Amino acid sequence: MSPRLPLLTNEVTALGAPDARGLAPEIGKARSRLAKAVYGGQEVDPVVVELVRMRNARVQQCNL
Amino acid sequence: MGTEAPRHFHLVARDRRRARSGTLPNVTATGWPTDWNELAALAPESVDQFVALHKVIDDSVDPVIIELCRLRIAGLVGASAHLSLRRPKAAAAGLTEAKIAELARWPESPLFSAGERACLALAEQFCMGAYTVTEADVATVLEHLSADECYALVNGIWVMEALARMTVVMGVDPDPHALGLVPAA
Repeated sequence: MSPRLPLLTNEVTALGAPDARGLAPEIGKARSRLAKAVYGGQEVDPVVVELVRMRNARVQQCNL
Repeated sequence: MGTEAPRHFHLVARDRRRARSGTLPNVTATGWPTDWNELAALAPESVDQFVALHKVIDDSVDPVIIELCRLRIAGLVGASAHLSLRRPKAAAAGLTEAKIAELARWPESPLFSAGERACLALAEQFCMGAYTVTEADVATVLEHLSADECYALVNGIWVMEALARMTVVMGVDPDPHALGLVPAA
């Protein structure tokens, strides 16, 4: 995957994706807090959350 | 699967119909939410963080562009309740009702700038499927926005689409106050 936006670094994240944290950092922080709430929540079974995430990633052709 | 079924799995369309018809007067945590507050009560931390992200987006993206994208996305996914709401910051920045009325005709309407067209094209492609967004779509946006702004826009499109689709699927109107929106005049 090659980034479509000019990034501040050539580093990749632990998941192998281009590191976009330098762009609009406040948004990145807010996204992280949302992800933590969704994945850490007790409302939905974590297996279902993961299956939906992976299915959606496949449909949207996202390698993660 | 865990040993206890999550409460969302008890939510069925029948409950939703009963709640709307008034035959389910006391909607509990296992009933289908009938308004934003009941929806938020089902997953309070997630909804709080989603609203917080919405606020960050609101502060990060050009108010006219994100409002045009929000309304266009709402129209595309059938989120009619969103179409009667407005972002005051966008009106203050010059977005007119005449322009909003032309939104479905943005490709040929003279009211839209090249930058707005680029952003709306990206928003539409994103709505159809993120995988349909091309290098050219992004490159065209980058002719008008910085990388930071483009990144913020993509996040904004994602948030607006998620919000619109969530409220459509749940059959719940968005809470204007929580989202910094007001009813259209």
